[in-house]
Amino acid sequence: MRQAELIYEALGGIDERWPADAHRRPKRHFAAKAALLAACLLLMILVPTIGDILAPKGGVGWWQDEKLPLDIFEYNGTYYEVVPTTDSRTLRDFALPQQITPDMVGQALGWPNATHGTQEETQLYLYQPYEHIRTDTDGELRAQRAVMIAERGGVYSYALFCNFIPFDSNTHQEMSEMLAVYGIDEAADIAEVRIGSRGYTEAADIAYIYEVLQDSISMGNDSFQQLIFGPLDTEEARQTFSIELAESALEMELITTEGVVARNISYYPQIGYISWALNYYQLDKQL
Amino acid sequence: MDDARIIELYWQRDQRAIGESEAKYGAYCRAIAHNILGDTEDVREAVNDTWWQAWQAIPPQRPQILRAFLGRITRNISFNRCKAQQADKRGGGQLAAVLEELAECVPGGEDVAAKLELQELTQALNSFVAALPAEKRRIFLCRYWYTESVAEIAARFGMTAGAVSTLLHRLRGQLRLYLQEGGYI
Repeated sequence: MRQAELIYEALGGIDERWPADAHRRPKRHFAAKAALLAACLLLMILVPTIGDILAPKGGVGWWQDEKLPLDIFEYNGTYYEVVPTTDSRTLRDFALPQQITPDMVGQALGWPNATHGTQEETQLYLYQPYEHIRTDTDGELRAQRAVMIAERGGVYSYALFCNFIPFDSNTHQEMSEMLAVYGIDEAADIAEVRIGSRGYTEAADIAYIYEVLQDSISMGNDSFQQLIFGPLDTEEARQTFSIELAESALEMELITTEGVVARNISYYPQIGYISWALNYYQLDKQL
Repeated sequence: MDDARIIELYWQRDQRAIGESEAKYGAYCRAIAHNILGDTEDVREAVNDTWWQAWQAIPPQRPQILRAFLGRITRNISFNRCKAQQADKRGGGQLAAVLEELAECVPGGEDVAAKLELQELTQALNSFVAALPAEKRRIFLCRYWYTESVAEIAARFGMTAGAVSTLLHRLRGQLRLYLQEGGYI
């Protein structure tokens, strides 16, 4: 029993946000989930060689993402990309100042693990201007995790949230968890939504978009591949459809009232899906 | 009172911090202690010790999530109390069943401690937990962090007890594989 006690004891030390999140009321979308289940069952009946269609070729899998950052580290189950202050284009996209002064460096968090890029020791800090941002998830206050500060050898850079570490190719997070990363737990937290070339700032528009996002069904890459590319007969058809989807995708951005920017969200209007940080979300209404 | 204000009271060494913590999170901490220790006098003592340890820890610490911070303290205190007692004197909590289940994650009685420090194991478990889909993670933690009974989890998630047990069994299998493949055991 000693080994089991050790695992139990070690579990006690995991990141506090996981136990804090564990008592959240589960969201139930019975009709939508039943529809998804029915679609999966139908697919299993119609397509006997399911192994073939699960192959990543032709999909829009995350491993094909050309935007995959090169300087990444891992901290508490999350990947962050290091963005130096010289990367003015990225900083402009995320509405971040091009200089990090000591007063912008918040509470020290610790030393994350380097994953790709430099092996130089990195010290992680909260980003002071966003330090006060909290999301209230069923009575739990959670800090924003979208922007942090990384320090290496006295040089400060930004550390931007990439995704939660996937356990397998079908790992996924609920939309509410993704929004909470950026400090969003209600429509009123969003100041603007941009979809393609259009921007929405009216409260009613934002409330509608927020509701559609919140009601979406989350899934991982395997499920997405199965549902979208599974019914196609040939590899060529899958390739063609994949290209079609990629070309019709609209980039989406959420800008919060606190100025936090969530980017790298793709909306596929043709199939009514969103992909965001290795997750796929099936929408029940068009945006 | 909101958490930031309670934490400020701790920082100001204002004893109202303890009263406010008790008022807001007393029931939560008692539930955790009860899950581990069962119906014993120890529950009340474990919760009282929680406030004392929080008072010692803040400052210098400034918890990000006060509820989980206090819950963790209660869990540790209750677990240590349970360990210190002889098996036959342990309360009727869920701990024994939970430990029996977790023993499945270590094949053939391998000695985890021999290969791994507690901190490393925590880091490995953190990555494992982080990578689980949200609902599975919650169920896993309700059982192995909060030490809740299967029936309680089933009620919380609107599932049958059988479905929860099956899911937990699979998750333990995944954890065992994860620890093996990662070279942790």
